[in-house]
Amino acid sequence: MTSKEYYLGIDLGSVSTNVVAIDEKGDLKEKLYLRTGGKPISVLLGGMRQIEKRLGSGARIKGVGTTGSGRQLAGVIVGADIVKNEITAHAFATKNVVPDVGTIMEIGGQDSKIIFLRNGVVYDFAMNTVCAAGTGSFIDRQAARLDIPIEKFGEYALRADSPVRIAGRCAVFAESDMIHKQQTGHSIENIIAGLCEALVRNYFNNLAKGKDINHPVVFQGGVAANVGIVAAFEKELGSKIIIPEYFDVMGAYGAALLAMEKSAGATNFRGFKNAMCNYQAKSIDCGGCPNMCEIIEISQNGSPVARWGDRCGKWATGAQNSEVV
Amino acid sequence: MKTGSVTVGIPRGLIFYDHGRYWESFFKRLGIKTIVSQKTNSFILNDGVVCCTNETCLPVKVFHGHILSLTDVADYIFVPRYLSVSGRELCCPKLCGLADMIKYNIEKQVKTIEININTRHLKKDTCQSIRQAAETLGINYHKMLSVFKDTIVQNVSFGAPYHANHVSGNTGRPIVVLGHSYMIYDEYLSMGLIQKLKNKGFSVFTPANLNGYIKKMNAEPFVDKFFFNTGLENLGAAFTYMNLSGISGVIYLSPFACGVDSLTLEFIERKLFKKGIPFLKLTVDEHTGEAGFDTRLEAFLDMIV
Repeated sequence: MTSKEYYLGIDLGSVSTNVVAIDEKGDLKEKLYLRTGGKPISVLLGGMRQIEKRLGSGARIKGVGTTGSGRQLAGVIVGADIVKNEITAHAFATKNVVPDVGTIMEIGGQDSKIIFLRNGVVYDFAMNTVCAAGTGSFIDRQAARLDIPIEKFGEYALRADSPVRIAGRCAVFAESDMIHKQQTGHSIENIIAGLCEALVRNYFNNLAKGKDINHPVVFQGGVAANVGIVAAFEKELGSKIIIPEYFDVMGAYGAALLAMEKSAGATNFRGFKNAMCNYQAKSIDCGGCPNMCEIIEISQNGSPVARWGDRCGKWATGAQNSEVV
Repeated sequence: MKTGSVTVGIPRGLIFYDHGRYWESFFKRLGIKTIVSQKTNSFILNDGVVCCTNETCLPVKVFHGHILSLTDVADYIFVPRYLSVSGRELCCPKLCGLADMIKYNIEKQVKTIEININTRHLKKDTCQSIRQAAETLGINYHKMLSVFKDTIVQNVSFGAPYHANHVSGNTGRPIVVLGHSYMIYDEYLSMGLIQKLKNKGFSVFTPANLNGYIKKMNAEPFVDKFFFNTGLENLGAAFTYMNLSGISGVIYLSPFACGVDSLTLEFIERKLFKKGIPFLKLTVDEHTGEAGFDTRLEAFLDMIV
């Protein structure tokens, strides 16, 4: 007999939008991995409709959590009970799967993270700084340039016999390095393997910075699907790494678990029907003061439901009335 | 030019956050009107970024923006040249070269009042610059020199707190915010960091809440031989706070590409790590999106609570 009560977790990321449903025992029942593709709202609403269909008509949602760089947006649209940053969400999910985890490595579309835990408690973390080199987007772009499907990218690396050295510090440098190597006749396999190694080197230089990597190491995020990167990590660490079964939706999974922990019966969830509404986001340049904030306004069927982006708060708090417009 | 009819513009940037009030009183006592540029906003940031060379740090770019915002309202703009404020120490090279950078970056002619602060070769350099400023402003040199001694010399050597009472509240959990004062007190550049922490119920402590002498004595490993004065405040503050009980975490706000921070941060990070005090380094550049900043901050606060 399957439970009909679920908690939803949504990770609205820059590259992918993930939705999961877990049951009351915390087991993952449904998961969706969708490409955000610059249309976060419609992808999210599409995802909600899909998950509704999969869960069936009798499903009751007891809580919703959102995370990812679009967590605020997702939170407003679905009516979240908890809106959490990615670090906390990822750590929470991983602890649930690998209770004694020592280090979590996560590489997503726009950022990469390393999270250090001791006795199940996060004691340190790092995220890439202002630069997106070494993240999923970069691999995506290189795969497109070389005309290789992203799913096959890692397999090419595994076929390499002698990986070339690629400059990993900067995506622009790396790209020109790769082109130079390719024009001098190196095989595509060796170049891709070199790129994977460069990425891993860059990851450890930028994020781990010589700190002790505690074992077991768990690797998650969309990039964990890339067997070439996994192999490069294992080579660098000199040991096996764990890739959780739902590595690609761990953020959403964590958000769902957090919602389950927080929810005390009542939920803010606006219901699946809500996903049929027409949501629109528009940006407004506020000219009220020299700060010239860029305000984001989310409206449902034409009337504003939320605004943010202002430094002074007059838009955020005035979402319900239109006098500030 | 007759005294009283001249307005001197003071840019709200860099050393203003430490010594601005002393300079204001310096000019006031000379009978000169001053006008301080408004708080950093997107116009000031954009103007600064456009006219400044690309390689400098964000606060220097913003300082250029402050100067441009003053050109229409002030007759002269005050640009101090901080070379050295104590012993054999030097200020950050960008403070030393600030006046020159402005000359070459800002094409529109800006009339500046330039005063050197140099304790290494105090007399000659400083007096010469004061003589020139006095001449420009039509003020008696000896008068200016004596006001300078009273208002500036007395006060600058220990990076005295300008915002000591700005940082307050003693009921919440204590958290330390480090960084150059022109980063942490500039609400625009710091993305309201101090206010965000206060809103979450923390009591915020900064280098300005500590006595200068104590900071100097704790600025390991550079006690008594610090070369760049600019980093001493943070180093000393970090190692002073580190030994107080109950500090729940330390956040260091650094502008991208700050050379001095790149060194001090390493010292601080390693020591705090050994001590087991949670540490977060926040780097900002000219992006206005706060999402990445907030993610790191929220995660850090989740971690320490």
